[in-house]
Amino acid sequence: MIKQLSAAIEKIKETVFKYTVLRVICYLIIALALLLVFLYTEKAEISFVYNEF
Amino acid sequence: MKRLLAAGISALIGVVLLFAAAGELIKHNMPPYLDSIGDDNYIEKITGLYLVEQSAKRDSNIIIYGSSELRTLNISTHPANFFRGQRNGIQVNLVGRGSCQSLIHAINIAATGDALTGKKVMLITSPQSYVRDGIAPDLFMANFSEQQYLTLMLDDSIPDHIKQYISGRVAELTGRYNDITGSSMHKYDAVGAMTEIASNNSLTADVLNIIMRPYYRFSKWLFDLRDLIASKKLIENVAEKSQGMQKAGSGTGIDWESELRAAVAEAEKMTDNNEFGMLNDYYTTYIGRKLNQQKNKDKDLSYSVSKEYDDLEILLEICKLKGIEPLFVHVPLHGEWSDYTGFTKEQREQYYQNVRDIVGRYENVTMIDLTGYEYEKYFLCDVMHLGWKGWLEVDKAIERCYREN
Repeated sequence: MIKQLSAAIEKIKETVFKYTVLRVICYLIIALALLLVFLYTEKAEISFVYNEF
Repeated sequence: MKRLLAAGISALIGVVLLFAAAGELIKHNMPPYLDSIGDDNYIEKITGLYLVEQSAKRDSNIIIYGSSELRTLNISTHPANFFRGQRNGIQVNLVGRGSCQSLIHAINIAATGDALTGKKVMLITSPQSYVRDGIAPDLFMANFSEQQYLTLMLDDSIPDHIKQYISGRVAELTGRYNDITGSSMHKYDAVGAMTEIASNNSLTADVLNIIMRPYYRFSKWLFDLRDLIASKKLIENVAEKSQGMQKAGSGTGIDWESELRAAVAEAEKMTDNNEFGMLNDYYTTYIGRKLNQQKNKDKDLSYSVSKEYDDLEILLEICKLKGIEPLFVHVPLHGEWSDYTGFTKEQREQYYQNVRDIVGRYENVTMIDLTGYEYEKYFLCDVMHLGWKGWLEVDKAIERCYREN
């Protein structure tokens, strides 16, 4: 399973690096994914102890 | 090498275009703003900008910047309840929560550009904020907005001395927070870099600031987009919740005498387990059996010297700079309770006067001075938060302000 996956990744890498257009598209997809992760990740709330009294 | 460079440049241009398109897509899919968002103090209004700017565009909206007192929605005279359904054409918009003090509001207002210019705004500060060090680091960090900070620091219309003061306070409070918790908040991001450079008054710092500007702008753009997404989600949730709910009639006039009678009747019911006129739950939780231990516990307390006064001054200066004419509510302490805990009338008067002196220096501010109501029963609902009669005075001021405008 791992061997097959590695082979598939290797094949994608080879194909992508052969064509500039594909490489650029690949970068764009990564950039868009990072943007979406940032935008849709809710900021963790900082906890604080607020003394009502 | 040439091919690599070409791929790099194409990728960069592509990323810029792609991000711009994503941003435009988000902006064009924003649902219409809902007035009822004003009735609750959602965090998105404290740390974002979009919702406050949308509210400011509406003539009926009065934005109330406050802190923990905004939470007392169980009291019918609370402005969000009193004007619910746009009674008399007024819609309040609550911005703040317990722990939001002058510095947080100063950053929020400073970042709104000219959205609030000429708008109706109310400021409420709480007496307990005026401890020696002002806002505590954890309270500050919980409400601090990177988006607002970057926006105000990149705004050329804000004078340098205001930016320096704010960045100095941000550096101080972030540093103290990191020391206490062992974390590294805002050390390696745009906020950290900007704060570090802003505190350095040299030519190198100026040059660095120019070099870093695209990075600051990009960070701000990202935070703006995240604010839009959070606001969109909130608007959709509020719209879903309010579906099918009937809007109250707008009303034509307010009978203040009858409102007062109703408020007192409600207060009597909600405070029947104590003699101080405090909410039953509050009294049971915080005082009740501990009453004897509280005697003279505040005899060494002082609100005479506090960084909060400087923060208040900056907040009012920002309001003046932006052409905002705020109503400032000067909230009293609970007279009877303060006497019991040993926080004397002289000590209280010192705090009241300090605030009066600061507010008095700003002719654009109208002060609603409620400090004369210390001993008025049901004016507060606990030791420090406005209650039935106190909120009614605030409602009167809002109504008057709205009518005069």
